[in-house]
Amino acid sequence: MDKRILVIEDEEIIAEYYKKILQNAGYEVAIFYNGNDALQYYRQFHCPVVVTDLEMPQMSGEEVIGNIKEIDDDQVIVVVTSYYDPATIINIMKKNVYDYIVKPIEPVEFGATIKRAFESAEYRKMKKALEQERILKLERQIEWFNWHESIIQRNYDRVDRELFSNLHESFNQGAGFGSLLTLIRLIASMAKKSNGNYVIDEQMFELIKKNADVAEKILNIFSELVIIMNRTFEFEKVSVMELHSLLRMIIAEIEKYAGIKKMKIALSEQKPPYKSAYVNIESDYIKKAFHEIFMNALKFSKPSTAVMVFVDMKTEGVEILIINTPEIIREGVVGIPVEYENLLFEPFFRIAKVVYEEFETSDYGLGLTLVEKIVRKHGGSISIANILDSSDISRASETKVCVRVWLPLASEASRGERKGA
Amino acid sequence: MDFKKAAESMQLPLDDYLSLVQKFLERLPQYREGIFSAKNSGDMKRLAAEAHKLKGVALNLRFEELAECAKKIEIIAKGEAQIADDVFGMLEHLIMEIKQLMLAKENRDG
Repeated sequence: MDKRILVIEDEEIIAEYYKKILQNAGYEVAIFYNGNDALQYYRQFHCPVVVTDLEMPQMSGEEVIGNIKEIDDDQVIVVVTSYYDPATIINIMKKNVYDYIVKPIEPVEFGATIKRAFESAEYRKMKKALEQERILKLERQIEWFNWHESIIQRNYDRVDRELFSNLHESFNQGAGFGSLLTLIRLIASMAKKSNGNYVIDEQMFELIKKNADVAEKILNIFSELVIIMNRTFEFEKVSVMELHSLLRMIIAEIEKYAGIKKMKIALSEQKPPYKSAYVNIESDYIKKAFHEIFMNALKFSKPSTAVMVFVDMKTEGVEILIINTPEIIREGVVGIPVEYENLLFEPFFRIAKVVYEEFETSDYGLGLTLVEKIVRKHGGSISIANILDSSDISRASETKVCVRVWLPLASEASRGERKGA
Repeated sequence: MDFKKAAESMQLPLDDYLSLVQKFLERLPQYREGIFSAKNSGDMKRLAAEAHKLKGVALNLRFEELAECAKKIEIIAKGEAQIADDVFGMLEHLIMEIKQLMLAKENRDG
């Protein structure tokens, strides 16, 4: 994360104080004692977060904000003011600043505000990258589809081979059916007969039980898939706010797995329209689907990166974007190669051949199949594709993986009426 | 005034805090001069601005009495209260007290 912060404060001693606490918190601080110099710097070295005093000679904080917003309307700005006057604060907040802090600053509150401001800057940056990516995709849509088709045609044989090879690997990997067969063959060759019974080694028997559990897990997923495809869902009307809370709850539940690779999952903030918009969901299944998506994002991410989750209201639905920074799976493969985008939801399809035991998942390539069936049952859609993040000019473009889940809004007429699908 | 406590409340190591106080001490004559010259010339707008500056720094460095005094002057200058000369006397007194405090600390530390 870009940790540069621009601080504009005319009082040298206070500026020095901010610098010390921000540096102690790991930020790279650029201090300016007046707005003019700060603006000159800002034009050259755009910073994710700007902190500005309000009352300054020469150029006031309000003017600084106005000038910065002219350059980048999306700039995250935190205002420090010694005025408690609500009218002044409201007036400042109307200028689309991120937050305000009243002097004298309390270091804990100050630190927390700056941390949130950086998270917000990261969200905004990522959103911008997504928008740019969307525009690019639209511009080259026809070309892209043609190319996509040709790639699929060209790679059809390879992809087909991969599917069967995946099936083979899935059933023969570390635990499950493959091991069961091996163990039974071993027993058949090694077990001794005694009084009409076979005597089996205790350790071997334990191994059989363990592998039977894994095989059972796979069979359970199969059963679940069949259930999802055949059963009528009992939908419950919930607000988008509640859906957001559900996502937050899932994230809290899987926090321990995020720790495995020193990662974090950041969820976008709630917005007022979430209260008055509704979706029809079956909570248990939606929970299961997002649990699987988040776990996948953790498993396939570079260590010490963040998984960003955006909830956004669209005209007819809710869009949930899950973006992660993928690890190189194997040589030349970063994220989701375009020819695999649709195949990801096919049963047993796996790009990575690795088994992630520490995440306690089965890794049989059935998770996304399950997710897709759940989302479709909700009248929604899911897609997974690489996006190129070029928003940080100080770094080279980076490939990220974006999972887009779209769920339809419950219309006024249908609210609460939709009982089955 | 407990410097250690002030440093803790600002989440700074004591040395960092004292270096800020040292800078403040060096700047104190300027703050004082700004306030008194504005007062003597009857420029209330400048007086309010000068007092406001001192208040901000004093508050951040946890010199609460001094900040309170500067705040009173700011309010007076803005016409929100009657001028009372004893406030300026108090300001002089507090500035002196801070200087003595720092001096006493330096003598103690050798």
